[in-house]
Amino acid sequence: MNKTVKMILVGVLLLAGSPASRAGGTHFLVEPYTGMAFNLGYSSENAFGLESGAVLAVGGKFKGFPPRFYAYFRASQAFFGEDDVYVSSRAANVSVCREVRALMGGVRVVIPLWWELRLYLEVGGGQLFTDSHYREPGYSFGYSEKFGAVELGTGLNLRLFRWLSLGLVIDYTFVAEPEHGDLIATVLGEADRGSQPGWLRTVATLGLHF
Amino acid sequence: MNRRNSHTRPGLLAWLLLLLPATVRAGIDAPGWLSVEYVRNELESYESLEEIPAGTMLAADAYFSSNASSYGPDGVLVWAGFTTPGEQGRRYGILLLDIDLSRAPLDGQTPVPAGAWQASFLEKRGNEIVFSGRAVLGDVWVLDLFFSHGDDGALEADLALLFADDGGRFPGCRALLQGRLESDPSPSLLRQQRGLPPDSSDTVYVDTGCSGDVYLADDTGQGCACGGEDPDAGGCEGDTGGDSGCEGDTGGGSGCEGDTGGSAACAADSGGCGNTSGSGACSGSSSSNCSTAGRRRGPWRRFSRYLPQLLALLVLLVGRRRRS
Repeated sequence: MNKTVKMILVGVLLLAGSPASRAGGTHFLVEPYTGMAFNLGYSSENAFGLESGAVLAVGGKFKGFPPRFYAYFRASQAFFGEDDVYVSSRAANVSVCREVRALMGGVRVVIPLWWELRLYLEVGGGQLFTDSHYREPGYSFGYSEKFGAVELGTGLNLRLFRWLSLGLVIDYTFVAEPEHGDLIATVLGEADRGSQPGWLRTVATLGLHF
Repeated sequence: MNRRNSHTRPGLLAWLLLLLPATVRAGIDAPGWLSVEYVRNELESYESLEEIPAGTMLAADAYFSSNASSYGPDGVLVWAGFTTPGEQGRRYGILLLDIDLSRAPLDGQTPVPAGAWQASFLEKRGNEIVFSGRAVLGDVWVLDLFFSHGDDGALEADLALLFADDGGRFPGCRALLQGRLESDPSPSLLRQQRGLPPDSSDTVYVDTGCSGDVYLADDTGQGCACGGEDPDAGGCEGDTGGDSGCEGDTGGGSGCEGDTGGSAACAADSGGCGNTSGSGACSGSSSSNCSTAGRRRGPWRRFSRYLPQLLALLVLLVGRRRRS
């Protein structure tokens, strides 16, 4: 394990277990997560990737009103690996590799359901940074893009301890600015030329509350 | 469909990169089309464009991407793909044309100088490459350009190009003549959508992205005007209020001497249950329903209380053991 990561983990665990954190209600959340990301906008690729990231959140609840409200900030990275795509219109094999990084912020509402089980609802916006690479025998190219994006999410969360929760979140992210298309999607002959990029992700979360 | 996921990049570096300001800029990111006369000669090449016989007119899908251009944000990579005619099986032709728009004359008559563009043509039958060559003769003309600081620019260009393989691996040549490239939306459509006057063939409209100002320059570089109000009749130069030098300008003046009107001209522009363990324990209508204390007693409570420290200790021990 990387030394830096180990030190951060030890620090967070100590902080989460400190007497100060047990003295009052928790208002801060550090939530690393990992899971699968599905590429919805580029239909020919039909790829799924691996996503990992972390959420930092601060919030609380109003007296006499069960739901909790958090302002969150999320940073994430999704690798879609390298897809070998068969282009049937010209019987050719090509290779596509995409990577998406996101910096998002928004509001999370946590609604208590039963026992320690809670429902998450999220809405946020931010920037997506994508790197795309295309390769086929004879030529290749790559490019980076930046998109303004909106994310909508929901999930279930189980508060195991005062300082620890586990969750499962499903999230849909779509580009919130007009897009005419995408170069790789056009080269692959997609009907809409990749003009409606979108990503769905299903991730498992580990919430550290303090 | 096979897929391989590769996770070789250092994650920490990626996170640090995320913190850096975005440097991605682009002028055009749009689909389009190419109409062209296609000529194939599998035996020999030609010495000049004039001696090339008539070919077959074709239409092709195209895409214009500044992000993919080797010239950076002021350039554009045009990809066009089409099925080529012939009796030797279905073949697919791919044109890659990269243009440095900052160096492109915009009069539609003067070709883009050599060195400010590069082109290659690939012909394939399935995965087999049957021809691959670079442009050895010909020119590219930029007819109309709507350059954007974002990615919503547009381009219209002509081309006449002869491709051959310098390495001699693929004999013969391919020619693309009377070619017309146009992005969708086209420059004229964008002008119309933004309420700008129609193109008079000698004026280029450049969206600087600075407060919505629009920089106008003629193709000779001898005059320009900026949208907005400009008390300074000298034009854009020396005006304050933005990188572009156009902010706050309006009207007219004729400064900006030496500007070519291309993209380079403005390229720089560029509570309640406070003592509870969470809302799950407060799922009643009021905070008085908090009941966590009753659930966390005895050994389980003690274990839960010291679990973070135990985990931290475990991490340290595992780390030490691995090191030794």
